[in-house]
Amino acid sequence: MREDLSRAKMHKAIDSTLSGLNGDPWLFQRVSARAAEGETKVKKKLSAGLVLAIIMILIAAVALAVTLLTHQEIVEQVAVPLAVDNDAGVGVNNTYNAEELAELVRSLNENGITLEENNRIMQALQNGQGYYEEETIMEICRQAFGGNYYTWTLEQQDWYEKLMVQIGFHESHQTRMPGEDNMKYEDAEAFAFRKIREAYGQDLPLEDRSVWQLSRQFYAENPDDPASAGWSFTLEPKDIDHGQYYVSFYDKDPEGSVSVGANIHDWSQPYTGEELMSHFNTVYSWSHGQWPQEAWQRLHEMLQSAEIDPTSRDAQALKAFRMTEYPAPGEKDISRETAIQKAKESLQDSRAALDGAVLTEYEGKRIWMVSFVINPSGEGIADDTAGFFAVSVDSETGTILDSRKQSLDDSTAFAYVPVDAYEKAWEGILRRSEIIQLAVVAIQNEYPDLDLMNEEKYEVRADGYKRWNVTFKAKDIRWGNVTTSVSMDGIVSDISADIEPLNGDNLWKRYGQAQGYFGQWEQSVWVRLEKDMSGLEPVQIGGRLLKATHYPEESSVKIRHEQAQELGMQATGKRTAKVNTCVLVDAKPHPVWIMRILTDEADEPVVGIDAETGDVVFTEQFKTDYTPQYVLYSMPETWRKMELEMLGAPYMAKVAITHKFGDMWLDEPELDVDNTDNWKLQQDGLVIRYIGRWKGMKSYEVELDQNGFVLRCEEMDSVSTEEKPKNTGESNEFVPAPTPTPLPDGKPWFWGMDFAPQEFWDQLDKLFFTHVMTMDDYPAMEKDWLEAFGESEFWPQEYQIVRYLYYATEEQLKQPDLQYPVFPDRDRKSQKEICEIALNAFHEIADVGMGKEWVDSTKVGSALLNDGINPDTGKKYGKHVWWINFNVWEEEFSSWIPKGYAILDEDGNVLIVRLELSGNG
Amino acid sequence: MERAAVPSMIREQRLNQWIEDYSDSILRTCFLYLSDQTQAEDATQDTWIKAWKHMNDFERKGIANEKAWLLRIAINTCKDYRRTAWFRHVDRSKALDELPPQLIAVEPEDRTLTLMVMDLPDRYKQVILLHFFQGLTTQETADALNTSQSTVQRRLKKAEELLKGSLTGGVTYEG
Repeated sequence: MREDLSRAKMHKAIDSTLSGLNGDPWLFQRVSARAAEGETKVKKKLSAGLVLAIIMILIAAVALAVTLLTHQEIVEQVAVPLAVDNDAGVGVNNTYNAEELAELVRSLNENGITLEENNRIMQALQNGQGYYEEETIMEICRQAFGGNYYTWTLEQQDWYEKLMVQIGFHESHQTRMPGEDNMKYEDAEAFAFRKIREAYGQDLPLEDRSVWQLSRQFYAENPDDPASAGWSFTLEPKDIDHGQYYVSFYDKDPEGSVSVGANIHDWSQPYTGEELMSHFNTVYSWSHGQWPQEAWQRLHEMLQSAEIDPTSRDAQALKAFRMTEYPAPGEKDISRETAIQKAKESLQDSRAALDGAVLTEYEGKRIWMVSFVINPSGEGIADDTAGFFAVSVDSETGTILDSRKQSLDDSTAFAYVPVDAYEKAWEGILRRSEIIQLAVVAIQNEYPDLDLMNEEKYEVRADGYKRWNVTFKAKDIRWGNVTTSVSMDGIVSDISADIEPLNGDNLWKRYGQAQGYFGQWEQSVWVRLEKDMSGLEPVQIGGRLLKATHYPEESSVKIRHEQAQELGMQATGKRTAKVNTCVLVDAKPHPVWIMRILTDEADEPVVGIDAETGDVVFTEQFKTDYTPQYVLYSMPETWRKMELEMLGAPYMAKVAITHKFGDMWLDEPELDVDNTDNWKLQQDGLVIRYIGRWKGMKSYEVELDQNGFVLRCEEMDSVSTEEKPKNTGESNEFVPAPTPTPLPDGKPWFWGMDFAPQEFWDQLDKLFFTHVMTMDDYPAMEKDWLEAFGESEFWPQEYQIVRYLYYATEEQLKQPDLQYPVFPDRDRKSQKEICEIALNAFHEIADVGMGKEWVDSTKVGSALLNDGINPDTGKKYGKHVWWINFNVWEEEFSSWIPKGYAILDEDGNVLIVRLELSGNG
Repeated sequence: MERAAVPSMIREQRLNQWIEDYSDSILRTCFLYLSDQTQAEDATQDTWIKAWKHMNDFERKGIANEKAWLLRIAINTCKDYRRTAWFRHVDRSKALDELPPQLIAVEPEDRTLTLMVMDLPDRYKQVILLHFFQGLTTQETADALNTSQSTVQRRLKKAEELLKGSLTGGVTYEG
C-alpha cells in the first residue's frame, strides 16, 4: 500500500505544476491568449476520428485477438514503440497524446486487458487527454507484476529498466541483474537481514510478508564500473505497529560499506495528530479512499491520545476522525458493494468513478460514506457537474441520507466522516470562506470604498500552505489588485491595495495585470489599449509614447504577424533566433511591425518590418531591464524625439555609449559614464562628451541630430595622467580588461588583477597555490572545505573568494558584479572581529524576545561583499559591506536556518541588524 | 590554465543542442530554487552564458555527464542569486500563482508536493531536484554538489521523510 516518492511521481508533480513555465515564448503566448479567452485548460481539439475511437474503447465490446498478448508483450510491442516514435527520446517529460493513448488502450482491450475505470489513465482518456508515458507503462506493469517497482523481482526490474533506457527516460542501464561475479540474490538478502537483526534485534520476523513488504534493488551507479554495483533492501511495514528498516551495501565490499537504518515509532510516548496521520499516510498511501476499514478504526483509536494543534492545517480533519468510529460491517449493515451501488445510482452520472467507501459510526448512527470523482468531459471548459462527491448511505436501510460536492471550504475529512461529525469538528476552526471574510473586513477597514466581494469586479483567490494568501484579482483595468496574508487563526497582515484611479500612466500596468506580459499580446489587445488611452493624459514618457502611437488592426495590412516574424528572424541571420513582442504601429509610408528578436547573444535586436512591403525599416538594440520597454511599442522617430525632449541629450548619449562599447552581458553595463567620480560631462548643444578623469580610462563623444538619432559615437583615450586613487570605496570601480591567457607560471589568467591588493594574492598563493597550480583542483578543495566548515557562508573569506573565482565567468572577472566577495582590508576589522561585533548587535535586539542562550546558539555566517543593497531603500551602499547571517540549527531539517542578519561596514559599524524568524532560509 | 580551443561551430552546435534538451528543466530547477520567475529566467540565461564560456573546460576535462555539469552550474548560479536581502521575502506559494497558466490539469496533490519541495532547506532541495526531478543518479548528484554519495543518500532519505511528513492528509487549502 505504500506509495513511494518515485522519480515518476516527483516528475509528474513538478512538471505539471510548472508546465506553464518554459523557454518557448510562443508557447507561452498561445497559452496566455487562450487563458484570456476564458478557457480553463488548454488542449488540442479532438478530431472526430479520435472521439469515435475513444467512444468505441469506452462503451463497445471489443473483439478479442486470436492470440492474446501479455502485459509485457503489449508494453514491448505497442507502448514502447509509440513512446520512441513520438519524441525520438527527447527526455523524461514526455506524454502520450490522446491519439496514442487511445491506441494503447485499444491494444490492451483487444488482448483482454482492462484498466480500472477510475484509473487516472482512463480518466485522461475519457476526457480526450493524453497522459505521461512513464506512468502509463508503469501502470500496465503494476497490473502484471503487482506491488511497486521495488517489490518486483530483479528480472522484472531489469526488463523495465532496459525499456526506460530504450525510450530515453533513463540514461544508462543501472538497475540490473547481478552477474556471475556478483553476490547471489539469496546471499545478499540474507546478509541484509542479518545486519538489520544485529542492529535492531535478533527476534525480528523479517521474513514474514504479512508484516513487511520487501523492496529490493541491485544497481550499478556506473554500469561500466563493477565496483559501483550495490544492493539495497527496504522492509516496508504493512501496519503502523512495525518499523521500517533499510540496508544498502556495495557488492564488492558488503561488510566495509554496509549502511543500516530504521524508522521506528514508539507510540507509547506522547505524539501529535500530525505525526500519526503522517505515519498512516506512509503505510496506507495518501489516497484515503484506498484505506482499509481497519486502518480507519485504528486511526480513530490512536487519535484519542494524540495532541491536536488547533492552528494546524489538519486540525478539523483530525478532530473529525477522532470523533468518528469505523466499525467492521455487521449482519444488520448492508454490504460495501450494495452501498457503493446505491450511492452511484443516486448520483445519476455515468462518469462517476469510485474513490472509496467506509463504514462510519457517530452518535449511534451507522453510515456508509461513499466517495466518487467526476472528471469534466468536453473541452476543458469549466463543468459544474464535475468534482469530488460524498454520498451518505444509511447502513441499515440503504437510504441515501445526503449527497454533497466538495467545495473549496471543505477539508480532507469531507468524504470519510458523517456530516454531523464533520460539521461538529469545524467548531473553533476557520474555514476558507471565513478567512476571506476576515481579509475583506481588515482591508475595508483601511480601504472602505473597495467592493471586494463583487464578483463582477474581483476574482478571489485564497491559497497557501502555512498561511492563507488572499488575492482579490481585479477583473477590470479601472481598479487594481488587492492582496493580503492571513494566519490560520485569522490574523490579517501585509495588506497591499492598488487603489489609484485609472490614468494615462498606470494604464500600461493595469493591462499587464489583466492580459499578462505584453510580449505575448495579440494585436487586438494593443488596439483596445489605444481606445482605453483616449481621454487619458499620461505624464511619464512610457504613457506619452503609448498615447502618441496609433495601433492599427492586423487585418488592415498585407503582411500578418507570422510572416513578419519570419522576416524579422531572417533579418538577424541568427539560427536560434526567436521572436518576442510583435506589435503593429502606424508609420509612414506604411504601418510597421515592431518585434524583439531573442537570440543567444546579449544584444537582442528590435526590428521594424514594413507591413506592406516586408522591408526591414530599422533595427535597434535591446537589453532586458536596461533598454526602456517603449522601444518595443513605438517607432524610433517617436521615442527618440520624446527622449530628447524629456530625458535630455546626456542620457541618450550614455545609452549610445553603453550600446556601442559596453558589455551587454552584464545586468548593469559597466560604462556608468554619468558617475561623476570617474567621468566629467561636457555638453555643447547636441554634442556630448564624457571625459575620463583618470589615467588609462576612456573618454567618449556622441553627436545627436535634432530628432535624437545618433550621428556619431566615438571612444578615445583619456588625456588625464592622474592615477585613480585606490580603495575609494566606490562600487563601480573601473577594472582594465585582462587577457584570458594563462600566466607564464601557469596560474589562472586573472591572478594578480588589481581589484585586489597584491598582498592578498600573495596570501592566497601561500594558502592554496604553492603546490596547486591551477584551478582544476578547486573541486577537491571545495569538498574539503565543505567538510571542514559546512556551507560556503561559514568559510573563511579567502576560501569564499576562491569559490567565486572558480565559478565566475570571464566577464564577471573583468567587471566583477555588485556582490562578489572581496579581500578584507588588513588595516580594518578582521572577519572574526566583525562576526563578534555583529553578534553583540544581534544580542541587543534579540535577547529580549528570544533569550541570550538562543542568540548564543546561533552560528554566524559571513561574507565581505564588494557592495550591497540596503534592504530598506533598495539602494547600493557604495562600499564594501560585511553580510552576516545568524543561523539556528533546526533539528527537523538537520540544517542551519537563518533567523536574522546584519550588514556592517569594514570598520565594524553596524548598518542594519535584524531578527527574521519568518525568513525562508 | 591551459585552454584547448573548441571550434566555434562545434560550440554553437553543442550549445544549441543543450538549450534544446535542457532549457525547460534548467529553468524549472532555477524556479524551484529561487521562487521567482524573472530571477529564474535570468539565472537560466546566466547558466547558458557560463556554460558557453566554460565549454573549453568541459572539453578539456572530458566531462562525461553534461546534464550534471550544467545543473551544477545552474545550482551554483542560483546560490549566488540568493545572497540578497530580497530573497528573504519571497513567498513561494505566490510565486506559483504568478506563473503562466499550466498547460495541463494539475492535481492538488502535485501542486502541494511542488510547494513542499520549494519550501525545503537548500541542502535537501538540491538532492531532490537533481535526483528525483532531473533524474541524476546518486553518484552524479554527489558529483554535481561536490559531496559524497553517502551524504547524498542520507539527504535523500531525510528529504523524503520531510516531504512525506508534510503531505499528511492531502490538500486542504487549495483555492
